[in-house]
Amino acid sequence: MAFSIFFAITVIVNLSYAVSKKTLHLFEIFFIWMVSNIIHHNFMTIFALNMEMINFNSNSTSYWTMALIRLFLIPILIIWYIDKTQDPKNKKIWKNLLILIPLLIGVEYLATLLDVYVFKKWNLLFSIIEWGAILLVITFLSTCFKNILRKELS
Amino acid sequence: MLPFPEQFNENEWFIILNTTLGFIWVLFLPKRYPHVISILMILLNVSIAIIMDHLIATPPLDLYDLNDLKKYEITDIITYLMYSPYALLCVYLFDKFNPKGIYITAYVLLWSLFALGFEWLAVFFNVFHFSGWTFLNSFAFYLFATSIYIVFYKFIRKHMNNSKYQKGMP
Repeated sequence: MAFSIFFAITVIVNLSYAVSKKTLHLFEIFFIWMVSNIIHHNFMTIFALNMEMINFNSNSTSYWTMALIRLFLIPILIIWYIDKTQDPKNKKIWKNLLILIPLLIGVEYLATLLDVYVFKKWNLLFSIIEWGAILLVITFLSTCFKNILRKELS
Repeated sequence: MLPFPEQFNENEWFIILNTTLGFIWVLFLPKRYPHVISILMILLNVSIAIIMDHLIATPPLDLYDLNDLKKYEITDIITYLMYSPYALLCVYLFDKFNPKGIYITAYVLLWSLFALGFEWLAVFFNVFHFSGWTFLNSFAFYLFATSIYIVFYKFIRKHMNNSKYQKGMP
């Protein structure tokens, strides 16, 4: 059930982003997707393996659900957020952040509810700090990449 | 959070020397394409390595371990950069010699064999400890990964030639 629910959510989110008007260059989308994957995988492994704050369910459905969330759902939500913040007409950057962080935390807690993860020494505050830090790093790196891209393409 | 290695021995030296010398070597190559392409190629390489490692080298599969500790250590992060100079060199030489037809298959095969040899060295120096993973699995994976690099490189190169940063963009 967990896989079906997350697969449906992932398809809907990816499809909606694919058909929406984009501000980001294709290379920026690639860049953010890869950086989100790298940073999120590292954070999760540190929390799970080193700090033992999160446990991953060992059955294969949960395992593939976790892979789906990490590879295709979380990065696309972050890409969409950065895309919106780059839109010159958008004046509500902070409002977008207030939507995105609860959304990402919601994905995590839905995964817990469906037994994909088990939170051990984890609480809501850690989630807020985790996503705040991840978004800060990704936004900074994507701005640096945008400057290089703009210089080399123009 | 991120522990240091228990002992600084052959695996740490192998990783650090390989990464440092590899990047120095790549830096001295004459420029053939924009830096954004190199950045994307390095990121693709690191992403594939991290995604694979965190999916198959952690429970429930746990097919191999990296370095000294069962935990995620600082040297593990540098390990992900170890392959990047060779991935860059692979696309650099591909761009230079521009193989066509069956030579592309030969090129992919050659680099996969090189990567396999490199992995054998890494196993020899105790960077990887296999527990269910085999060199045959690695070879199959390197064939796939090298093909992905080349397809991705050709795609971004083509897209780079066709695209300009549009005026009015932020």
